[in-house]
Amino acid sequence: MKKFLATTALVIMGASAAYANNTNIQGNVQSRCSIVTETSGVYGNPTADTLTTVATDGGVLPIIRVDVIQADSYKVKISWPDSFSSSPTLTDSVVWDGEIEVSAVSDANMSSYETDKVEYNNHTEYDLTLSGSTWFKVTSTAEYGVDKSFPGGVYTAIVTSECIPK
Amino acid sequence: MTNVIPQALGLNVNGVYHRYTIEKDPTTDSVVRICNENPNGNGCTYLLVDDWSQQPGSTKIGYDPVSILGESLGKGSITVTGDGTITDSIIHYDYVYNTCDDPINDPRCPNYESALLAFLIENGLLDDPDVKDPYLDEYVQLQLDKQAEQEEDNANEEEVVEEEKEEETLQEQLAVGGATEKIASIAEQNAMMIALSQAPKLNSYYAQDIQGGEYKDTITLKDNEIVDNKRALRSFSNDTKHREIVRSQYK
Repeated sequence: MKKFLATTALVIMGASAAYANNTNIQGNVQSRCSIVTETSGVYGNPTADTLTTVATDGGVLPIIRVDVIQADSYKVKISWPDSFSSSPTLTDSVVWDGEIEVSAVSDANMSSYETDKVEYNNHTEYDLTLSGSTWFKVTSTAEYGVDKSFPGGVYTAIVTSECIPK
Repeated sequence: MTNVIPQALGLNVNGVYHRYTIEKDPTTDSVVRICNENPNGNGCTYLLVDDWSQQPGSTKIGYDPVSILGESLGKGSITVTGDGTITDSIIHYDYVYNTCDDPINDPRCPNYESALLAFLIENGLLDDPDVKDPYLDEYVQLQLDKQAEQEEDNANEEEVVEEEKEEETLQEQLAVGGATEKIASIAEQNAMMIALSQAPKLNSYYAQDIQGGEYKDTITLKDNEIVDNKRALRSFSNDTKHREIVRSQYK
């Protein structure tokens, strides 16, 4: 019995030396671009068939701040909404429009972001070549049917923003 | 923009927040300067320069971390050089100060007591109050004088009454007024002569023998110390007659 146990131990040791060992390397990458909603938007309802964030029409422009701590490493893609995330039941189509603009900058040289922006569909991309903060304002307009009144209720739409590493 | 930093001792500015909008032609040059003058010299203690040359106008928001003593920040200004117009400008100063840098601000601060004492001394709050000595007060003195005069008058009156009594007795003894009839009366004269001739009445004086020897003091003072009568002294100090008497020595 004792002999059997000793043999078994030797076999296990020999098996351990024979296998390969995998060692993990783990690392965390912290984004150097962050997006903060500074002001939530509000739709105004200047006419029965229109919802808009324009201030003169009773709306509030949402303000988004993008902070970059590493220059020339990120783009930001901001999309104005093209659908309601929640609303009363709608039986007709909604025509969407929107505009993303630089509202304020933390560096005078960032003012060129606005002229250098790229727009497609409902998306706008800015190349964040400088470190610092940039504030964006979003104009969103929804028109219901053909001069058709929006049903009463609460309407919610979402502006999406994302930092895209270059 | 004026100097808006509180004048607290030890105040330190940790940051300057600014926000302004510049409207300009993207093809022109312009420079925006935010300055806090140096109150002790020329130039700016705090200066931030934004070069907007060949850039489109925009709204700028910035926070500039600094570490500057508040007392060294003078009058502030935001100016634009070249093309461009500044609107909606806001400058905020982020500052902190230790309330105990001036211990008198808070009784919980160390050295509060000494700071309070220094403050009181500096402002003359510990000087003796200007309270008049009640004994020197004009009205009190007047009353004391009146009282003294009254006492003096009373004493004089009593003295006069006693003197009058004594004088009356003597006058009565020597007066002949009212006794004219007695003197003129023969019978009365006789009676007076008889009375005068009564030897025993006079003998009691003439026949008195006084024994010789030594007469010792019989009065002894029990107290070792004779305390001055202060009340009397005070009274004398207010006594005009006494003062006249004293002054008369030097005339």
